[in-house]
Amino acid sequence: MIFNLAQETGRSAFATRASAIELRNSITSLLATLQDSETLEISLEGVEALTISFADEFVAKLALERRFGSTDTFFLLSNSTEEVLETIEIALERRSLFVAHRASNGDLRLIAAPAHLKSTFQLAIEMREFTARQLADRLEIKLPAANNRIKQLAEAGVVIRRRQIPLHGGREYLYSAA
Amino acid sequence: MPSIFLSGSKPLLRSPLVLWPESLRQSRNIILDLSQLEFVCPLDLAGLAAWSQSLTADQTGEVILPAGGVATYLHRMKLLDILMAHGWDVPVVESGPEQELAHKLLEVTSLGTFGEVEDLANVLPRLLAGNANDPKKLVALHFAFGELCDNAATHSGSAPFYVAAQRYTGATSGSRRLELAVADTGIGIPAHLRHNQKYAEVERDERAVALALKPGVTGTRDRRGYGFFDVLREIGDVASGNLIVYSGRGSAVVPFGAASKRRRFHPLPGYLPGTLIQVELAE
Repeated sequence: MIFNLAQETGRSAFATRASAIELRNSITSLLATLQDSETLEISLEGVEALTISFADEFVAKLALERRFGSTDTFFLLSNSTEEVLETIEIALERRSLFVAHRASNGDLRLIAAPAHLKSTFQLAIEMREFTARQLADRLEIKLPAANNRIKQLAEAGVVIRRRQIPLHGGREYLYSAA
Repeated sequence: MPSIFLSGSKPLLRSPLVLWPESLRQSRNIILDLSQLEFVCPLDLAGLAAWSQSLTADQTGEVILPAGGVATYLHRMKLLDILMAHGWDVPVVESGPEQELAHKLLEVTSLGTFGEVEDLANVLPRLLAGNANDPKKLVALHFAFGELCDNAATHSGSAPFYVAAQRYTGATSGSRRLELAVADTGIGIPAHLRHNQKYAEVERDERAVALALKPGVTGTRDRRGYGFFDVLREIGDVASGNLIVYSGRGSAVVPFGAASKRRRFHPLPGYLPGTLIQVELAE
């Protein structure tokens, strides 16, 4: 599911918190309709400028809401200019949040995330599907640390999980990146 | 009849309290005497527009215009239309066909809803950025306009507020610059800041204005309060100039990109209802 900000509003620049709240509310409704493994992508194609107040009220608070929502759906931004991305990054950093962004060439990266999560995410993309144990082994960290990183990425909507039943029985989660 | 007398150059920028004498409160009939006015800047225009809506139903207001080009300029910038709309008796000004000057000026504009702010935010920064393809300048102008208007719309408590802008080529003064002003007659920065318990004891308004320019200082309970800080930072990256703020009993003149010690905060000799802000950018 793609929400194209410029197309939906007919605008290329965004200034006020009030309009950000309206837009965020409509996206929150969309998030609630997503099925497992689906993606909500907010396309910033055609957006030339945001104030940090707008970015805070729209992107940062949406990212915050996402933390408390379903961890089985993807959430990311896409097609932003570097200037707009810088603005969003400032708003996210002030609330200690991060999101994923897909560039027009397909490259996927985390915005405003600490370095260890950025590198974990890049590895997750490379591995495609993985268990926590497999990620821990690749990163050469302990399993609880790997689980913690996966948890943070899942809460941000950049990694999802599904349950699988391993050959030896029991319960195991399989993760995949956006 | 009591008169408000504005004269010379940039009268509100020099003395913002000239519109708010104590004698005005009880007056039924008011004269706005602009006959000796020589030059107005966007802050004068937006400030006059915001102030003029305070004329009550049981008051009469009469405007005396300056001669020649200044009156024509007030007419061109739509201030006279706004004064008339607020019930002021304004003489007719004869003028010729208007040139399209969207890249040089923004007529005094009333903004009463967030939609109106967004509509203007979509066109004004690009127009004021001129023909130069400079994304950083466009973003900086958008920041300045957007954040200041968002503040006015959100915190002033009064609607509408007024904006105006003018680009000066430097032909007369020798300095090329862009000036953008936002004016409202709402709650004011100091009173709004004191809504936050953390700042409730800040006594002096100029101290409150100084605090409001710092990151994370807000009159709300939310984790925000970066509007002025971001405007100063973003503009400072692309241009030199000043941010001028008058609100309540406090004032500030803050150079963009300069060290904190060059910022000047002073008390006003009286009380200014609302907030007057002018952004001045060298070009």
